Amino acid sequence: MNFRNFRKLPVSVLGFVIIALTIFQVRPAGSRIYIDVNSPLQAKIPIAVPAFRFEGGDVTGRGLAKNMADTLSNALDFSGLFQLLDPAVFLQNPDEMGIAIQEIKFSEWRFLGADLLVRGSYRVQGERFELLINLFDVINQKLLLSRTYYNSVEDARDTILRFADELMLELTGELGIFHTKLAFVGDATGQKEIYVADFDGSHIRQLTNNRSMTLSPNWSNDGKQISFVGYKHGNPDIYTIDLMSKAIQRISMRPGLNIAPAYHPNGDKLAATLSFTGNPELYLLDLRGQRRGHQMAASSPMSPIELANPRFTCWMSTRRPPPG
Amino acid sequence: MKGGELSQALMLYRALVNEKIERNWALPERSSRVKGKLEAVLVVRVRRDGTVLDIQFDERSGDSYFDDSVLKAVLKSKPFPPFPDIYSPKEEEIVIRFAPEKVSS
Repeated sequence: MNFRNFRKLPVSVLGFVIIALTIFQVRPAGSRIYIDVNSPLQAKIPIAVPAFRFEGGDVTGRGLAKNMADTLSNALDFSGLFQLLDPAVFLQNPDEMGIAIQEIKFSEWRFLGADLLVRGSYRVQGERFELLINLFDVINQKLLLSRTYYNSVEDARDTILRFADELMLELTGELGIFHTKLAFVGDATGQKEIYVADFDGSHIRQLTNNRSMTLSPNWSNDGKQISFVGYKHGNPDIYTIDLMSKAIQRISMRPGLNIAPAYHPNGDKLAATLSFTGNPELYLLDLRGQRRGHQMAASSPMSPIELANPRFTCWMSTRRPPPG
Repeated sequence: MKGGELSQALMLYRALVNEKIERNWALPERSSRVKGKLEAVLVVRVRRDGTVLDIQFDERSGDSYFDDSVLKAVLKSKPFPPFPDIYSPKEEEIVIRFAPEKVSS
């Protein structure tokens, strides 16, 4: 505010400012105590996840109470951000602990050293269950996140992981990784096949059953498809599999190598190394394996990686950089 | 002589407060927003028995997750250690500067 504006202020405001300055005198700085704090000793945020409260319905659903809390605890532990409090130190039976903010005994949780508390309650009706989960800030005695879900009992784990993702978003500003999956090559059957697992390596599902060498799984950006290289017909060919329908398509079976498929970020094409001309070259193919445009580069390019920016593709090459 | 005793007592007091707050300061290395050098300053008004009367930010880091973590560290440290007998004020403003050097694991 410059002086000219200052003069335009109504007298009442000026009067208030003068009174305020008189009441709230600036304290002399010399009497303060100064302290530097440089080392946070808690590298993880202490969080309490008691077993969820079973509110009734089918008694067979009672087991879910600990199950769901364990699933959530494991996911949060996996993130590396949290220190899970040992349920043995909890002061109350989880079935008697409240769920709503006015029922939470914040002072007890603080005494136990929890910064955060997750409370869930649910009821089961036949194949379905209704779940309420609240996340509390114990220090500020605040409700940070509240979600209700109505799902099939079968999807209990998935529901909990969805909440874990949202919890991460609330606390870090970034969605959690608990719904991500890993694709990998495994040889448990004696042959190399493609498998998919949850973020933590659990829930492994075998995707292919080619009984031959199957390699190089690569996710489409939307997570709905995986492309891979299979030797089912003797030659390295490029396949895609739709994760929902499990339908497998052989999209490139040209003579020579058909390898290293990598989805374009748009999802409508993929880059791959093909050697039907005699030399391995990089090509763009559509999802039916038809060539789109010209070859992209010469001199033994391999292993293309499509970047998030659709204008660029990375690859390995024996090409020498131009001199100078 | 009295001055020396007082400054020794205050040094000990600062160490006690520092120790309590550090123990209660949870700052995960991997929390996504906590990157680079961050610094925040809190002014805590404390009664001589250690009761925390008021907490204000004198300087925010600009990172809400970091600012939240330092505020919680002070809240979790209530009450503060009582003033040393030799230190006479009824209450005092304690200026706490949070500037992590490294996160211990």
